[in-house]
Amino acid sequence: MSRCPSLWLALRLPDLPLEPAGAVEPIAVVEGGSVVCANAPARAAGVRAGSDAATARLLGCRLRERDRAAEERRLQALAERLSSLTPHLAPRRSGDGRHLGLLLEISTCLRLFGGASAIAERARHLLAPQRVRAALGPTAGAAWLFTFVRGGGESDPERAAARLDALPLDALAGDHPEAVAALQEMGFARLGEVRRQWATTGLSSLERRVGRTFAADFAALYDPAGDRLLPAPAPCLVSDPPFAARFSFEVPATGTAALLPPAAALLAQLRDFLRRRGLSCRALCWRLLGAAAGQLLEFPLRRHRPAADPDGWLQLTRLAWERRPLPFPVAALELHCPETEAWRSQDALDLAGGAGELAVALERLAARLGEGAIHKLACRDSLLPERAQQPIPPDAPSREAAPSLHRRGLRPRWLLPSPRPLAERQGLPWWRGPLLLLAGPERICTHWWEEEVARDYYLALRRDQLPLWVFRDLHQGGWYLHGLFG
Amino acid sequence: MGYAQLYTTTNYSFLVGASHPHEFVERAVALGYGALAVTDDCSLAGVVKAHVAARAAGLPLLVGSALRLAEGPLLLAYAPCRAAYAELSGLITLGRRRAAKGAFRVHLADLRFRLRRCLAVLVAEGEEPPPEVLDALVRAFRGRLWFGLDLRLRAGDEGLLAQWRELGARFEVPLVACPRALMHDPGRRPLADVLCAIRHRRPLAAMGSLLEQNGEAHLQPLAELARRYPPELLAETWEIARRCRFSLDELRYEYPPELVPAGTSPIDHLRRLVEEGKGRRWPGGAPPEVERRIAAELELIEALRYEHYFLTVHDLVAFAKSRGILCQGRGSAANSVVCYCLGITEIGPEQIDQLFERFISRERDEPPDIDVDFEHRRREEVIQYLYRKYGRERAALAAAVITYRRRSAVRDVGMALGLDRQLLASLAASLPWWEGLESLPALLAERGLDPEAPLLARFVALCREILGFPRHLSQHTGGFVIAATRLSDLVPVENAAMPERTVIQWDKEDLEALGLLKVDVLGLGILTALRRALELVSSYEPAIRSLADIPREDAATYEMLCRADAMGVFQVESRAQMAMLPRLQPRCFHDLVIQVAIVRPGPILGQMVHPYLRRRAGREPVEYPSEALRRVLEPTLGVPIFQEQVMRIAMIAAGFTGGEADALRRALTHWGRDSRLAAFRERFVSGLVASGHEPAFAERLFEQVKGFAGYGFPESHAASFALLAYASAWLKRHHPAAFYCALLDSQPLGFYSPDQLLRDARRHGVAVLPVDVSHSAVACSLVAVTGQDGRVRRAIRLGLGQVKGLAEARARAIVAARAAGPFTSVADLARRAGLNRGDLARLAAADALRSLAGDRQRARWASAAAADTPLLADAALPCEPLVAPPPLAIAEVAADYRALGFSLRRHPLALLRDRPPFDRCAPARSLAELPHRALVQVAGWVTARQRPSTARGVLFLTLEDETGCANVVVRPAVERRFRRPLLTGRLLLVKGAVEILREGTAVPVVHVLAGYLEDLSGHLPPLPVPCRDFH
Amino acid sequence: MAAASALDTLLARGDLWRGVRPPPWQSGVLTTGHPPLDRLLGGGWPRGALVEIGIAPGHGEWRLASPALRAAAAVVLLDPPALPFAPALAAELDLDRLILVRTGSRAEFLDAFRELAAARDCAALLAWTPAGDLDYPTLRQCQLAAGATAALRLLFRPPAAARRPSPAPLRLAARCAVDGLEVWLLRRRGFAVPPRPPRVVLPREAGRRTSAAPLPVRRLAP
Repeated sequence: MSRCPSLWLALRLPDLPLEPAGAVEPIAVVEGGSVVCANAPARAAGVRAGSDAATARLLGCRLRERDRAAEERRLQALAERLSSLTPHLAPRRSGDGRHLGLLLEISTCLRLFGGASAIAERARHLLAPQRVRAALGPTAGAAWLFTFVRGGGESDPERAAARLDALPLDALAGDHPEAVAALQEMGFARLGEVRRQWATTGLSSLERRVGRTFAADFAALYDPAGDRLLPAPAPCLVSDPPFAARFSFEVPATGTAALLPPAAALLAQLRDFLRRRGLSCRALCWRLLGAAAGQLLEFPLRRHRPAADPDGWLQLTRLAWERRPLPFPVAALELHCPETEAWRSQDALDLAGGAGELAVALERLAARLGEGAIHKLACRDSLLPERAQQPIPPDAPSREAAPSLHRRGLRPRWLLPSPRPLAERQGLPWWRGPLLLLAGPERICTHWWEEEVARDYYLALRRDQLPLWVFRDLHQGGWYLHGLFG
Repeated sequence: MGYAQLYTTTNYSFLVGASHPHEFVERAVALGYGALAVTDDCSLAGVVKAHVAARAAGLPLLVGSALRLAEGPLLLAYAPCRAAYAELSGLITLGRRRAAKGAFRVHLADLRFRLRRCLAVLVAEGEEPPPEVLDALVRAFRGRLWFGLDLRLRAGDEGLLAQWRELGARFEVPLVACPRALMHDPGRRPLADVLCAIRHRRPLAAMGSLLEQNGEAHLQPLAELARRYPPELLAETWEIARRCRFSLDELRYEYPPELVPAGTSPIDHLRRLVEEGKGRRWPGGAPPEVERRIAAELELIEALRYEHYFLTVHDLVAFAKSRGILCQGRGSAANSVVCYCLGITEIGPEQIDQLFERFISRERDEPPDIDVDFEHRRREEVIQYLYRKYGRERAALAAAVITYRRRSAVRDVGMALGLDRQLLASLAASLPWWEGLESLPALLAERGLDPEAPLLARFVALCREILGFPRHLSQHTGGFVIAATRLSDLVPVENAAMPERTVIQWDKEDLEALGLLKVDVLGLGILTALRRALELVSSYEPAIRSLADIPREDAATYEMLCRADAMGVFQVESRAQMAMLPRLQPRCFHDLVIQVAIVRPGPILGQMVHPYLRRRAGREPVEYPSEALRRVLEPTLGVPIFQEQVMRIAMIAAGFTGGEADALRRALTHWGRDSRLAAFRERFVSGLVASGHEPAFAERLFEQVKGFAGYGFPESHAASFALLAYASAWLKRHHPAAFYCALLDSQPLGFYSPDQLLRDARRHGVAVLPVDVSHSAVACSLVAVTGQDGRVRRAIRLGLGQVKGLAEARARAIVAARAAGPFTSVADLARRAGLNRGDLARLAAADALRSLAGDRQRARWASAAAADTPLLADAALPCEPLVAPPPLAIAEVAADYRALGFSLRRHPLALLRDRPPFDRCAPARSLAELPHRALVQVAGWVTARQRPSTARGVLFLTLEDETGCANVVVRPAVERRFRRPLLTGRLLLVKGAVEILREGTAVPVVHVLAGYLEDLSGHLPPLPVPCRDFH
Repeated sequence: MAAASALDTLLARGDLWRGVRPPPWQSGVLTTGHPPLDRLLGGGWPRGALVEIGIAPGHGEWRLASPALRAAAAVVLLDPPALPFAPALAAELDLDRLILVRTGSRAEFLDAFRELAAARDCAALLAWTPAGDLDYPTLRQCQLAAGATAALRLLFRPPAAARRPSPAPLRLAARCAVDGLEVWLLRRRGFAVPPRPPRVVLPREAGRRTSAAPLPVRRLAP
């Protein structure tokens, strides 16, 4: 049974870790102290993949830690773009994770797209603006190796085998570091020498000394089927993107009333999408696009419990839109739902006894007043009063204990957003009359490593008996009011 | 009535206190304090340093400790008397021994029984201790308890005074002012915060409320204290100070009684042992002069009650000799005939003119300091003997305080300030070992950072400030303390890092400052090598069994030393020694003693060396300052070299007694700080003038003596070392194979690496056979080889122990398996000796499988398969042939160095010799024939870098090529221009002028004065160059 | 029988005036945590009724209200005058149940007040009137919203508001005094307030921290 010879196209993407391709300033992506890849301006400044992070910084590059999960997602998205070329397509990552790319088996669709080079050109166009190193090869492994070498690869098996023989053993070090090291110690320098050993004493002699996986991969470089009966087909992975729906108006809508019916329709679409996958969502985002470019208004909405009921979301949407008139006529309405969660049964129950009424009220207020209007307070471990607390979202827990010194000492219940300067007469603070210092000083001097803070705090009493928390700045001098004991 | 500072945490509470004990004392005196208490956390580690400073400043010191009870409250305990001190020390020991190293646990229940006499202050803190705890404390410390107020303007302090006044009234306990001091000066606040951050292993920005809220924890001026505390609380501190009269000077040392058999007094037992010894040393009866000296020495020993000390050391040495462990006393002990009779030292009155006062003198009233060297591999046996004999309660190791050095300072301070981890690693790595932190700003600038930026300026200042701060207690290498009763009555004892090892909280300096005894059990590599060599030699020449059997004053040995052929010889093998040997040309034992003593900073600084050499070569007349001094200075041709000579000059010419002369020597040793020097100068000069010398001469002689006495070497010490130097030289001359074999088995040892030793052995015609599983034993061994001329000569068969990373148990398994019959293949070896893949890989890498599988590549190819076949498969399965290309020569040499640290193949330089630029370089051996001042190019890899303190900043490099070594001198100007190659270069090209000294020396002494340096390391494959840096 | 039941429903209405005896607050009272104040208010804060307190912002709201909030399931502060200082409040109430709401205009304030007051599980609502105070109709709407749930609803108004009419069934005023916080009653439904309104003083910070005697103060360098 004659099989048509397989033909692989390897597409290596050296700049994949760089997200916003084409940035002007030199950027280098680093991992474990060394540079993984650098954009064009960085390469011009002399930074190479593999140079150490400290020198990259010295040469003026901005360093960004590598984010492998984001790279996986980008690789997935690029794979989907190429799915129009061939179903046999798979992402390829080198053993040590430094190099990423795609492998396409194109023997079946050669005639459809008019030859291998045409397919390579079309793939390069589909992947723009990513930089691509493409190469052909009789086997997947060979094609991948040829992307590292100038000359673009070799489709004819004999000539490809000859070019593989000339490659140094280090080319395989990325995938099989220990095996390559052991072989080099045994005197092997080039792939051809290992192939001659394989020919004279059989694959088992290699398997016993440097392991089965290396021997199998090495054999697959030269002979795709090897002693396997069927060539393993390369399945293509497809996963569904997050929910996004869009409604375009024939005539741009001016009032919010006109936006509500399409919004309801989009929410229904969301409900079906979620129900089919057994999902629920806690937050979604409306994007109102004007006719002109750049006219964009975003309304993020959040609920205290994941819910999929369209009318609940519609009510929040109406509250959010009524807040202020639309700045521009709306040409298109988009609904995005990036994060989804598994649907849990108790979400649907509506607890009796008014429980949750406050939460619903807060939701509506948040939609109406905007995100930052509603928050809780959490303690933070700091010596400085103004840094000893921070606002947190209403649904976040606030369990941090108050630092011991603020628990032990005299502390006001109200804190001014920033200390207010007070007048000073004969070294004593003055605010609508002399302030009587009742207790203190309590000295707080710290943060000498950032900006020095040195204060003496006192409990003071105003003429109208209002207890105040004042301090004297020991560096610049001067009195300040920091809180009321109210 | 003064004020006593009661709560002081020094930096001996590791990573808490931010000032040294002496800094607290000096500031307390400056502020006019009446007394100072040192209260470290469950520790007395810092009290001796504070005591020494307080004694000098005349400030009363209270010895105390801070004890955070497990039940919560914080108690400060003070020792009013010696018995109370023993209680406190015992309690601290109990607290420390209960917990792991660095921690402690003290319970309320312990206090009732263990602190019956100590005074206690309960530190008032926000949360009151529960009533029952207060009751227990008040009952336990009836009449000696105070409530201490630590008011430092902190949150909650304002209510503290009222709250504890009420408690004090209820429990009838007086209140006392007790402000805590973490630092002597407010300027140390940043360092205190950094130490806190290091302790919590977090950057400062993430410390939050763990840091102190303000910087008030420093010694406050009296005026500020008066503002913060009611007067009666301040007065109460003096009440406590008044009741604490204990001083550390009261500590006296009682010796262990076991050493003396029942019924005899220690001194009689000592006399009997000395008599026996005398009989052995002088079988025919000792000369009258020796008898007189022994009597005089024993009489002084009895007067100063030091007999126990000699018995302790004798017992130790006797145990070692009974186990065949080679040992020898060193130091000033060699001035004593009693030690010679007891067998502690090997230097008799005939060999040097012994001066007993240098060892023990009435004026000094300090116990003698005998260091005993043992074979460094068997020292552990001696230490376990001590633990077994005296028990863990009475014997412990002195502490060694590990302090912050450059690298640890840069790393820890940098992390606390939140600097980038990689930056700190690169900074620490590039700090050259011969510089302090001065180059830190430059290194920062090199990395594109601005050292003037506020944070980095702080970083540099804090690194310098933290240098020398103690980090933790570790074990001293061999300083043992032994007590008659419980050691913990003398000093707290805590757990060491090693299991069942305990360590006291004081280090060597503390013990010397208090005049307490310490026995140094030290390891000396050469003793191990000598015993091994004697074993090898006695296997084929029974006449030579011990050091005593080595014939003395062998002319051939001295002739070899004169040719500076001294590599491997103890004490005289260094570069400077080898340059001196051909000029001094030692011909007898006394010359060798001078050779050992003369290459030291003392004689060089005192300009003693050149006059002595000129007089020895006859180019300068030998004259003596005066007839009276002729007898003293005759052995050294009128030039004072030894410390004993200085003392004798003072005794004979200036009328000093022996003890005073020794006091003069000690004053001259650290003449910078000793105030009594002026008095000595006056006496010395007037004494000399009185005995008829001109005042000008007397002044000049004193200056000369002052310059060198501090560094001068004691003749006794030099003589002890000279004995070992002669023995090793004799073995090198007459039994080179055994000599080098012994050196290889005793590594690490001396100046040179195994690689250099092996090259020197082969230059002396000793054949060296490589490591091989079919022939090698575990250690290196001798093999008899009959040459063509029929003479049986010895060759060295390298042992399996030389293979890096191969466990000794595996090596023994191979040798045992081979006994049953030779190995037929690598698989056979693996099976019979039970070797795993790793062992085989290491043996293959070391080329030790050559007899079974051929060259290194084939050995690896075979061993990789052998380890894989299950044990059951028969080994007959033929190993597939390897078809890889043969290896390159340079790769083989590199593999040797990686696996063994040396190579028997050709020297790497020989392999590079044909390539430019090496082909234009002169070989090291040819330098001697060049004319003086000739310009030359020489290349080699760097085997030693040395910057002796006496060389005014000159750096000495040793470059080695296939013909030998070239000594390169790098002046500071040249060093600055070629800083990078000097720092990192492994293979260097040097252009410069040759300096050759020919007259007055047996062989020409060659140095190359470097003008240009180039790093050629690129030509070498990656291999570890055996290079040693000496400070 | 049906007529009787109709009467019962009529009597159950809170706003029916039944002669002299002061009707108990329709949904009961919540102790204020200050015994003298409980006596002044007839048992404590009324549930389900708008309580109006005339006090200068920051002068003593926490001193007055915090004891009652300790057990509250959820406490909402609407437009507080300054930022509550969490570490100081952590000792008095559970910060996890304290929510702050900030509105931008009078309309938003009224809308927020009505939404929050109507939520049954909002155990306590403390609101500060926006600048320029509220007019009568707005107050009337707040009163109606407060009546919908049996929970604590406090409205803090500037001191001058005491002179203006207000529909709130209970009205108080408070100011700082030498020995603590002075509180007096302006109006209480069903209770004739005498011309000289009864006063009560809450001592400043009970407990050990601020004892009566002035604490030692460091003499400042001139």
